[in-house]
Amino acid sequence: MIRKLAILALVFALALVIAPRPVTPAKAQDVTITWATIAGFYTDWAEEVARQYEESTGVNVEIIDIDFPSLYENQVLEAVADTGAYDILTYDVGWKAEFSESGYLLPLDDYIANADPAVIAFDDISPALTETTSKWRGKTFGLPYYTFTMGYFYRCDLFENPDEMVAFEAEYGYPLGIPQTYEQLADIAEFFRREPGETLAGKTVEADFYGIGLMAARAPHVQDEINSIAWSWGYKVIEDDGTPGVTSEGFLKAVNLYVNELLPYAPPGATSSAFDQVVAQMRQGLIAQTAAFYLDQYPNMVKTEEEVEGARICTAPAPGAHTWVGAFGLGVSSDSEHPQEAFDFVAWLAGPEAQRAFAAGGGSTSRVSILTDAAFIAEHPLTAGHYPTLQFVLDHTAKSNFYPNYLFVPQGGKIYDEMTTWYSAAASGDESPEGAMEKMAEAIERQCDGLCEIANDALGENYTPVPMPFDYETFLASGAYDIDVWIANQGN
Amino acid sequence: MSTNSAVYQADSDLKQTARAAPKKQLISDTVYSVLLIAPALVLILFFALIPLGYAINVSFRFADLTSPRGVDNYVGLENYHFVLNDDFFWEAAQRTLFFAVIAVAVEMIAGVAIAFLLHEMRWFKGITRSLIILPLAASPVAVGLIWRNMYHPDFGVYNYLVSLLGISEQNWLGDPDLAMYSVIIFDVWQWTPFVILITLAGLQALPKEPFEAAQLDGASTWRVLRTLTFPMLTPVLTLVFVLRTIDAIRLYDAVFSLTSGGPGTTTEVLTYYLYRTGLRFFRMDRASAMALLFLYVTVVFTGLVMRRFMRNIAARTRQMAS
Repeated sequence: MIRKLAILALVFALALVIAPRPVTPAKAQDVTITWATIAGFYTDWAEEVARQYEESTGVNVEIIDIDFPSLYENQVLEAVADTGAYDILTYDVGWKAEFSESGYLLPLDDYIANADPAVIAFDDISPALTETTSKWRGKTFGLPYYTFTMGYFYRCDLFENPDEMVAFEAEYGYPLGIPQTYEQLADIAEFFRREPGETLAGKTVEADFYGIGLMAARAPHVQDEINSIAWSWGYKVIEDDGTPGVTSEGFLKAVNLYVNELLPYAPPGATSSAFDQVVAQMRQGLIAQTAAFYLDQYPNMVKTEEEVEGARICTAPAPGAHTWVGAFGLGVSSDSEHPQEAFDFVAWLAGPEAQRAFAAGGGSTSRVSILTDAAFIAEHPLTAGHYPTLQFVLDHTAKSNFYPNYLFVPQGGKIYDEMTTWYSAAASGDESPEGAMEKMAEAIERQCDGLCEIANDALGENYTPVPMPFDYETFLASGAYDIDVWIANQGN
Repeated sequence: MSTNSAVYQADSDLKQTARAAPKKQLISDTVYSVLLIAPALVLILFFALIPLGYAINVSFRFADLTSPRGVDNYVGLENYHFVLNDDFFWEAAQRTLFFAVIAVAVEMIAGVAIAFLLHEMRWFKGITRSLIILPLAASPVAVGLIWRNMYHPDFGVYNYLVSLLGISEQNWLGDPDLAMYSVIIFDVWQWTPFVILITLAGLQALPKEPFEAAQLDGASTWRVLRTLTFPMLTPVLTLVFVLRTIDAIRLYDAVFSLTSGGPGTTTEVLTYYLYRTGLRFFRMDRASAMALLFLYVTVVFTGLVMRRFMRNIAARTRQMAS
C-alpha cells in the first residue's frame, strides 16, 4: 500500500514538473532594471522616486546601494566581466573618460535623438555639467543628476561683526570679506584662529576655535581641495603634453600653501577628517570657514544656524572659482539587457520632473531652470539656499571653458585614487610636499604607462585650459552669498 | 585485570564475532571515507584550488582588466620581477611585519595574563567570559567605523579619556607617527579575547594531579608556571600564536575602516596594497604575483612553526602510548 502511494506521489510530482504551463505575454512588470548607486542620502531619495517611476511605467527598478569608496571597483569588475549585473551605472566625473573609453557605457546620442525632447530637456542641463559629466570624444555617455560642485562656506555672522572687521583690516591691510584668492583664504584662516580665553565676535572663547575646516584625511576629498588651489592658479595635474604637472614649481606652491598656510589653522583632526567631519566641525561651532567644499552639503551646513547661537551660514565660489566642478552621472551599461528601459529611467531621473522632486528633497540639481527658479529657492531656503552661488560657479566654468586636463584622461579613476594617497601623505607630514608630489608623478606615469593621452578633442583644437578671473562684483551685487539677501534682491 | 588487558580482551572478542558472522560490506572503508570527505573536497576544489590555479596562471601573464588587452599573453617572470623590485611592496611588507609583531606580542601577553586571572576567578566567571567575547562577535568594518569616530581628535572620546590621565590630545589616526599604533590598539581590543578564550580552555583542561603534587612538594608559583603550566600549555599557545600571526599578516578590515591606509601610506599594509593593485588599478597580474609571494611566506612560516608543534604532539602521543 505504502509502495503504491509512493509511486502515485512520484507520478504526480513528475506531472507537475513536465506539465505545459500557460504562456503569458511579457508585461512591462516583467522588466527589472538594476541601478548601481551610492548608498546614503542619494539612495534614500532615489528609492522614493524610483517607486513613483515603477507605478507610472510598470518597469521595476532595483537599486543596488554601494558605499562610495567601493562604487568604482564594483562597477568596473561587473563591466569587465560582462555580467550584466547593472543596467545603470553611476559615475564620478573623474571616471567618465575611463568608463566611456573602456566601453562600459553605451553612447546615448541615438537614444536622446529618439526621446521626447520635453522629457530630456537636454539644453536645460548646465553646460559645465554636460561638459564634465556627459560628453566624451564628442558623444554623450550619461546625464548628470546630482552636482557636488565645490564652493566656499563661511560664518557670515563673524565676517560681518564690526569688531572682527576692524581688527582684520588693521592686521592685513584690506577689508574682511569673501576671499578672492587662496592667499586671502589663508589670511582669514590665520585671523580667526582663537585659543580659549581670547575673544571672538565680542565673546570669550571657551574652547579652541579654528580658522578653517579641511578634509585632509586619506579619503577622496583631499585632492579636490588641493587641486582647486592649483587649478585656480592655472597649474595642472597633467600638462598639455601628457607629462605629470604635479612637480612643477607652481603646483608645488599650491601644495605648500595647503600644508603650511591652511592646515596649521584647521582643527587637529583635519588629517583624519573627511567631508562629514568638516560639516560636524562647522555645526559644533569649531570653524569659521571651509574651502573648497562641496556646495551640495548646504542643507547640512545650514543646520549650524540652529545649533550654534547667532551663527549664519553663507556661501560663495571657492577662491578664484575654478574648482572641482561636476556631478554624479548616470549612464546605461553596455552589457544591459534592457538598454531602452534603462535609458528611459536615466532620462526621467535626470529630467525636469524628477529633478524638481530631488531638489525639493534637498538634492543639488543639475537643471538650470531649477537652479535659477527664484520662487522655488524662496520656498526652499534651507535646502536650496546655495543654488544662486552654485549657478554662478557653473556659469563661470562654462564661460571660461576651463576644464582641467585630468578630466580627459582615460586613467582618471586610477589617478584619482593615487591623488588621495599622495596628497594625504603631504598633508599629514608622512612625506614632504615635494617628496609626495615626486611619488605622485611616478604614480601618474605608471598608471598612464608613460605619457598620459589627453583626449580633449571635444573641446576643439585650440583648447587650452586657462583660468578666467571670476566677476566678484556681480556676485556680491546679486547677494547670492546670503540667501536672505538674494531673495530680497529678487523682489527689487 | 589491568586496563590494557581488558581492552585487548574486548578487541579479541570483537574480532572473533566478526569472524563468526562474516557480513559482506556494501562499500569498503576506504570508499566510505572518501565519500564522507568528498563534499568538503569539492568545496575546497572550487573555492580554493581552482582560484589558486587561476591566480598562478594570471601571475605569469599580462592582465590589466581595464585595458583593451585584458588577460593577455604569458610574460614569464616579469610580474614577479616587478613586484620584487617595487619599493611600495617592500614598504607595505615592512609595515605588515611591524604590525604583526607588535599586535600579536601584545595580544599573546595580555591574553594569557587575562586568561590566568579569569581561571582564578571564583565568581562571575561565566558572565565575564561572555562579555569578553563581544569584540570577537562584532563585524570589524562596522566596529572600525565606530572606532574611527571615537579616535577623532575633535569629537572622539579617547582624547577625553587620555586627558584624565594628564596626557595631551592626540591625533590618533591622522598623525603618521601614531596611526599604526592606533590600528594596533584596535586589533588588540578585538583579538585579545580570542587568545583569552583558547588559553582559558587550555588551562581548564590541564590535569589537576601534577599541580596538587607540586603544591604538596611546596613548589613556588613561578616554578609551577615554569615547569608545569607553560610546558603543558605550549601546544595550545603555539596554535593560538600561529592563528593570530596568520590573521595579523592578513590585516585588511581594520585598515579599510579606520584609515584607508593613511595618513599617506603609513598604515598601508600588504593586503591593502594588494587590494589597491588588484581592485583599484585592476592589475590582476601584479596582484596575483603579490598574493602568491604572500601565500608562500605564510605557508613557510606556518610550516616551520607547525612542524615543531606537530613533532611535540607526536612525541607526547608516543609517550602516552608507551
